[in-house]
Amino acid sequence: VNTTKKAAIQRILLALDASPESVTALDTATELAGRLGADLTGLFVEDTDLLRMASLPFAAEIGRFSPSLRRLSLPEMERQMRAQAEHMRKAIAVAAAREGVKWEFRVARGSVAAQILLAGMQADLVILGKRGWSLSKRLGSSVQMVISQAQGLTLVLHPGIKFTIPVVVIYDGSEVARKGLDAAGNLVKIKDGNLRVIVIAKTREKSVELQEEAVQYLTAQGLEGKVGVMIEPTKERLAHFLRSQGPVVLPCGSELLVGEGLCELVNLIENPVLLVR
Amino acid sequence: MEYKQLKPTELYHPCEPDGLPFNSTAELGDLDHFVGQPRAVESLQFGIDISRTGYNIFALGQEGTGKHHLVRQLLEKRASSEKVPNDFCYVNNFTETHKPKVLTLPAGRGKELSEAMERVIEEARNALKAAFENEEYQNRARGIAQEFQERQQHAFEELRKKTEENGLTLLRTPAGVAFAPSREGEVIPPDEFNKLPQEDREQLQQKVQQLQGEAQKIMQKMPAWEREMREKMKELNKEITNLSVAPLLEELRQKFSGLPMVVEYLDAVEKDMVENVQALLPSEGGHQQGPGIQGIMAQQMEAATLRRYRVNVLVDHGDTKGAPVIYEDHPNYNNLMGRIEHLAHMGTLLTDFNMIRAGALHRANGGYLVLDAIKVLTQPFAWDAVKRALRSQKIKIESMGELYGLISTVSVEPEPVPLNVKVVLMGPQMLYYLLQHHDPEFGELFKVAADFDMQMNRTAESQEDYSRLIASAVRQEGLRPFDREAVARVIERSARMVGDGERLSLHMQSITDLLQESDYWAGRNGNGKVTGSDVERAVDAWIYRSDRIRQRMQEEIKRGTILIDTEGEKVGQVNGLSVIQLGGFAFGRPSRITARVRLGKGEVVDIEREVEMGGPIHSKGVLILTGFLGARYAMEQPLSLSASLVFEQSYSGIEGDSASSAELYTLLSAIGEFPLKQSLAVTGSVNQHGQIQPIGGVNEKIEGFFDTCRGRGLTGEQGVLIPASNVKHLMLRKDVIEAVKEGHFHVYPVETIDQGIEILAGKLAGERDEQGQYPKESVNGIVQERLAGLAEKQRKFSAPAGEGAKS
Repeated sequence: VNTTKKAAIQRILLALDASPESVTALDTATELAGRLGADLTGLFVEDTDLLRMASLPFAAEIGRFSPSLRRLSLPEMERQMRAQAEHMRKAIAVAAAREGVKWEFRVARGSVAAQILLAGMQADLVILGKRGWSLSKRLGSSVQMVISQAQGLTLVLHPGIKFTIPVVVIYDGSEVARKGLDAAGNLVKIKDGNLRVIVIAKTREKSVELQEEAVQYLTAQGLEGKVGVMIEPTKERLAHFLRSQGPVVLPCGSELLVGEGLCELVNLIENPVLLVR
Repeated sequence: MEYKQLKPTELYHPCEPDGLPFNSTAELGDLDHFVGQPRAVESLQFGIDISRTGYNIFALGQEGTGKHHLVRQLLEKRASSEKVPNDFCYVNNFTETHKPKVLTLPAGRGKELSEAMERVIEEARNALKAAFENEEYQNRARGIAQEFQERQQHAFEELRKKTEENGLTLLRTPAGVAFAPSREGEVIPPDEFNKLPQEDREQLQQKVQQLQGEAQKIMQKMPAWEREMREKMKELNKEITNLSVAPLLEELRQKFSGLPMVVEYLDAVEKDMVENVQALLPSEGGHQQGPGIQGIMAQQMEAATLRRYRVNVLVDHGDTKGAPVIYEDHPNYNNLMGRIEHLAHMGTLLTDFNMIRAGALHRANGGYLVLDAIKVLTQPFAWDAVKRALRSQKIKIESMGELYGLISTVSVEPEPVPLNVKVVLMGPQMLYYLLQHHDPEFGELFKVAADFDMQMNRTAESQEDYSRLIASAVRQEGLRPFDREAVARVIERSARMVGDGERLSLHMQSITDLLQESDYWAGRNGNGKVTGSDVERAVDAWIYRSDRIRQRMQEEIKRGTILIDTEGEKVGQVNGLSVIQLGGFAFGRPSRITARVRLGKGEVVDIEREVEMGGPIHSKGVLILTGFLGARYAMEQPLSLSASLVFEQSYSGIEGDSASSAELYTLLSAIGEFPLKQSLAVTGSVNQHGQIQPIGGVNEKIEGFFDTCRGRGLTGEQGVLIPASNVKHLMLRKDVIEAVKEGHFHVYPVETIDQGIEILAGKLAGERDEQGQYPKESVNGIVQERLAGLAEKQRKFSAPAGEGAKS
């Protein structure tokens, strides 16, 4: 198991900005990297949108805590970004040293999503904080883009929620869902806990069949766990069920879990989500 | 010539063992009354009985007179029939934390309340934990948070929609939000923007500015929304807390329903718990609080919250029987008034009501407090504090350090405790009179004086009582029983201690010491009982241990270093006697007193006074001599001599007038130029009429001269002249009495100077005839003639020269 695990995840990319959710993500990322023996790359993206905005003659920001209008300029925005990047570099250094993880830190400029996707191609796992902006209940556009377009494993973390056990995995019998089972199994082994498999099926007959597969998988892997069944759940029902659970492994590609639908589900729950493709 | 001298039986006032109606102290029961201190006992009983303010007691008397014992016994007897006073507790004052409140509860209930509160705190925390972890609470709390979130999300969603409709995009900046024109989800690059027609640019700018204004409005509303949410949360918390805490406190209120003060306090606790529920909730284990300073701080915050509901039982009378009788051995300010302790916390000193500690006044409240006056007076601030408390009938704890600015820190001002106590101060007489004189408040606060006597009359009955006193002490100290003779010896020794054959010492400490030492010697001698000889041995041993200096002095006299004649006759020289007191031991020694006369103006020069080695009483005695000489011999002519008197070989001060008769004898001898017997020594003061007056330490003085004479060998001529009025004080040593019995030594009781001079000079004193003249050969005659001669010489000498030529 160890060798496959090592082969599976050797490089972790962590997308960072100076927000509190980045700090949560940083802790989880270094812990995972430590347990998996993977290298960690911190990526700080200087958002071109912000830079462009700051270059406009009427650029101004309205403060969150002091609701006044502050003029912005490009040099100032750049200075702020440099300061943030430096702050994160230090944070990653401290966290990585604590876990004994090999790390590097990079700064890129461009569209946030594009840069993460680009860098993510070099990594086995991309970790990003869900830009759970308290002022909006929607996912940030960058996160949406990454979720829907990323190719490998993507872990989305909600601010303040830690990566714990038990791990939940959605299983619908598809190829990607099998991958999901493997990924979930690996996570559980790292965390020494048990696994919950949620079988999603259109019919009861199908569900029985899938349930059997799942049990067989658990037995084969020597994992402890339970298998539950949901027949044709809506996103809301699924989200409601998942809310009370731990980290969720979602196989992308099944009917429920593509494009907008996937984004919506991720948006609805606060659990850490591992997207598998 | 035969002179009156004392018979051996007059030299000692023995206690005849046959007169004592028992064989040993084992037969004697304890005394049912107090011996020898009727005045003190009555004063104490009066003082204890009267329950008026200001009737506190001052027991005055020397150390060792048994004041403590007597006072304690009387107080305890009285206190045992009185009711147990209330408990006092300090509790938090929830409105003014720095002014802790006092709770008064019936005896034992203070502790009960304290324990009950500890349980309530524990149970309340568990109940609250359960209530706050409960699904119902969690859901309601989430609901409130959700409501707030939705409110702001809704506002921003609207804003976002509007932004998009206007072809703009809402951006999150590091510190807030911003707006920018966008195309296909991306912000228009600045160069592209600049290429836009002027009109479009202005339009976009306007739109952005409008949205900025709207965003600002939303942002401005958010604090109010948040406040609203917090209020709602608070209300919810209060509701939940009330449900968990109220039943617990209600139970307590029922328990203490008869005590409105406690019920009021419990109401305040309930109110405070509801308001401070967050602090009351148990934290999720130490690790969640984080390591280091923050963790420690968090733990201490939690501890501090729990402390606020504690009950600090200042005085617990749960196990007390009757009213308390407290003796404070170290009555400094804090031990009397209580103190406020501090805890060093991160470099500062902190305190609260839990750290208030009771003082002796708190413990004695409702009963009696016994204090040593000297100790109270020598402790800074203590005396004033006691008076203040007694006057105001309140105990107010104040920190002296703070009052004087020595420490500056967080402190509390505890509510004063009502005081109802009777204070018994104990101290020497002198202190009582000084306080009466100098402290105007003293008389008002200590109206009862219990005056302890040092001695009691010695009669057959009192000797019997005294025997029982001895028996009690013997039993109390666990000593061997004293047989009849031993008791008689103790009684005799007691009389000797006060230097009076007709009195007994009430200095119980010395008597007890003698009993213990006698018991020791009985043990050494293998006696089952203490016998007379054991007591004698104890006395002798005690003297031997104490008399190194006496012995050294006697040796120096014998060796002729200190010049004392004990034989022959000398003019203008007599042996005086003085007493030296060294700690508890006194002894007498002879001193040579000499006088020289010359022509002069009628003054007697006291050399001791001239060099300021003589005290005022001594000087007074010497001046009296001039009065005597003038009245007796110089009625017709001026007293025309100058005399000088001195204590030879005295290198320290002389005080007292007990040598004034000796000085007069030596003066008369010097004037009359007749010799005085050196085998005699003299003591006694004299008045202007020539009467001899009593002096102190007569026994020691006689023994002192006896020892000197015996050292050189008794000649049978030697003896001492003592005032006749001192005869009743005689309790002389056995060896002196033996010597007198065998005629080797003599004690002459003397009433007048004339009697004394006859013994010393071996001449008649002589009585004045009708012409006012004394017989020529008599002492007075010689002196008179000599003084007349001196006056004549003086007259001639001072007459003007011309006048002399004429005649």
